[in-house]
Amino acid sequence: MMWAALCALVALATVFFILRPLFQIERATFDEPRDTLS
Amino acid sequence: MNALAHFCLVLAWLLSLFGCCASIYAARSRSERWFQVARNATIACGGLAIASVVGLAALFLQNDYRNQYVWQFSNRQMDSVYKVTAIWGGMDGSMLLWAAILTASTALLAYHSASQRRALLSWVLAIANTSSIFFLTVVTWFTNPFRYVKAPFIPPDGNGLNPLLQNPYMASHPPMLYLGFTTFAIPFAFCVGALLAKDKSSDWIRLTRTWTLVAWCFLTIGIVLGGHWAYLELGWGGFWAWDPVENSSFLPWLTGTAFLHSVMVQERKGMLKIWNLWLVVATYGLTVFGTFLTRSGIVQSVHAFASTDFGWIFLLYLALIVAGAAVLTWRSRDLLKPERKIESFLSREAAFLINNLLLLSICFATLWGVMFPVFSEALTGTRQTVGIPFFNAVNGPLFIALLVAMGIGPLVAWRKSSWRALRRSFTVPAIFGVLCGAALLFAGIDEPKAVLVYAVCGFIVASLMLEFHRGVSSHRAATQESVVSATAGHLRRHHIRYGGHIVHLGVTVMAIAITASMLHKDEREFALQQGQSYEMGRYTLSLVGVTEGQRSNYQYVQAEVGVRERTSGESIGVMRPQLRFYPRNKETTTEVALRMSARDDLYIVLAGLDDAGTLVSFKVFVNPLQIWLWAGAFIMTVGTLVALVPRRSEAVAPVTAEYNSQRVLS
Repeated sequence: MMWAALCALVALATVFFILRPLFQIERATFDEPRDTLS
Repeated sequence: MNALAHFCLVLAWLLSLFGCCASIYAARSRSERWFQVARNATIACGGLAIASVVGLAALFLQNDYRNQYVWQFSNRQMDSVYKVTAIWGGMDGSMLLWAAILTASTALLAYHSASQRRALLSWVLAIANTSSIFFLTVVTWFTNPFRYVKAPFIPPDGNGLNPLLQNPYMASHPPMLYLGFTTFAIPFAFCVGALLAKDKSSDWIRLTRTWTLVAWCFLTIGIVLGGHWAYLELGWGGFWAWDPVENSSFLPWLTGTAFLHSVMVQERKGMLKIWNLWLVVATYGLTVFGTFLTRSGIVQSVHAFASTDFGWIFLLYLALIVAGAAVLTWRSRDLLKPERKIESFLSREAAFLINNLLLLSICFATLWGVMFPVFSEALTGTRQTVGIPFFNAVNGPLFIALLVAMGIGPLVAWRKSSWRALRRSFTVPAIFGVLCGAALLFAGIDEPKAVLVYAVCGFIVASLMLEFHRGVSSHRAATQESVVSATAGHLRRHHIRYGGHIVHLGVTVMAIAITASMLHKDEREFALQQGQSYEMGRYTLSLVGVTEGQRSNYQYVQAEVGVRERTSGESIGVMRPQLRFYPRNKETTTEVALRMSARDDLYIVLAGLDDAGTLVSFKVFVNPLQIWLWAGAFIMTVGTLVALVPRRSEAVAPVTAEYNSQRVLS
């Protein structure tokens, strides 16, 4: 049970880490000047 | 713990897939946000794969024999260090380590890519993640090291690790090799990524210089450590047997070395682009091919992993790499057009090309020797193998030619050189080389091959010294500095070039040592009773006594051999070769007694005892200049580190939209 909870925690942390830029960075292409919201 | 480590592995595999897709989407849509998502996925993938290896290490340290791999490759008597190194004692763990190092290298690349060009980097991350997908697929679905034992109870103890692998060199040799193999995936990703991004510049070469040098350095250290392990552990007095497993690490080293040289021509002159693409593909492909060779069981080797039934997957991946590279070469033929042509045969470009052809000839000859049993069986039905004499006979002259090219190449000017300039550069070194050869002939060395190699080595050392002296002199003339500060300033300014020269010096030292230990080796077999002596070279060996004993996981018989100088009778010391028996593995190994000196190595193997235990058989080798082989490798490493010091002007430029989009066609 403890290991299952740890696995779930690792998965959540990973998903949060990976998808964070989608909520933090404005839509921009490589060719445009960028700005970060954070 | 097993479940968590396995979960990390599966998650890493999923992330490599996601990272690859996100990178391709970012490259196509040119989306900054998705580039950052791909970057984070790549970093997380590396972190999770490393966590998986750490988890396996913890299972070994906890003696968790529910895990089949832990049960198979460790036992309670083993030292903690060897419990950790048992991770790469078998197929499953070594593939996991390989995948973890690869994904960690890719993660490091992604972490440092924040300030680099997105258009290029997103394709690079896509290719690098493709490599990760392949190796993580193999580990997750074919060689999973987190399987449970198929037994209704938890085994009280494990099988234990092969005694030959319980050695400090085996602890460091495989990770070094894997670091070398996997790091070459980064220049491969950059080269292919640059073509996919339609990047006309040669910036990727500058960006990957560090990766290429680091990969080459790790591979060199890994190969030499393997040779040192074979020398100390296998008890045959040699360090390189042209075994298929050894060759599988040597082949990418050869193409990697060729790439390191020829890529300079592309960087400076915009030539050899297709050549370099295929060299980097060959280097990466040969690491995969080596894995196929050692895991498929198609060739016999003294230390290959057991035959497995999924060798085909490596071959399939290799076929995909080659087919992909062929399509890319055709698609990018305009980008790959050379910007210039070689103007003269007397130029650095031509010298590099000759160096490349020689390295590839050695590579081809070695590959042919490795694959010959397979070809012969396919054609005649009988498996015929080629041995050490074949490799030495074919590769020996090629290595000598390579040494000559190594002496000439660095002193030839770029673009075009004149005969007059060449005479000026080479007269003194050539005379010095001839004098070296003459002196050795006069000293009684009558082996023509040896004299030739030593003369060529003398030529190389003299040419390197002369070039350095000229450089410092011109620096002094320009700056009016003292000799010391001019030397330091000149070295600082041209450290990449002199790093290369130091590597060449290391190769020269190694060439001398290899020639001496091969051609002037003294090898004897004899038996002694207690108190008897035997004279060999400059040594007198006498048997002082025989003892028996027991350690935690092995029993041993040890001979005490007194060593004296033959002429003066002065005592040098007592050497203690052993025969060890590991009851759990039912294996007997020899523990070599070795006395190293600058002049020669005295290498004593206890071959056996008669039934009464009074007559002791020995195999003894005197290997001249052997220590210089390892010293040469050390010099090569130092040279690579000098070349790795970043240039002052290489400070990373801040990213601007203009910088990101520059030189990109689409």
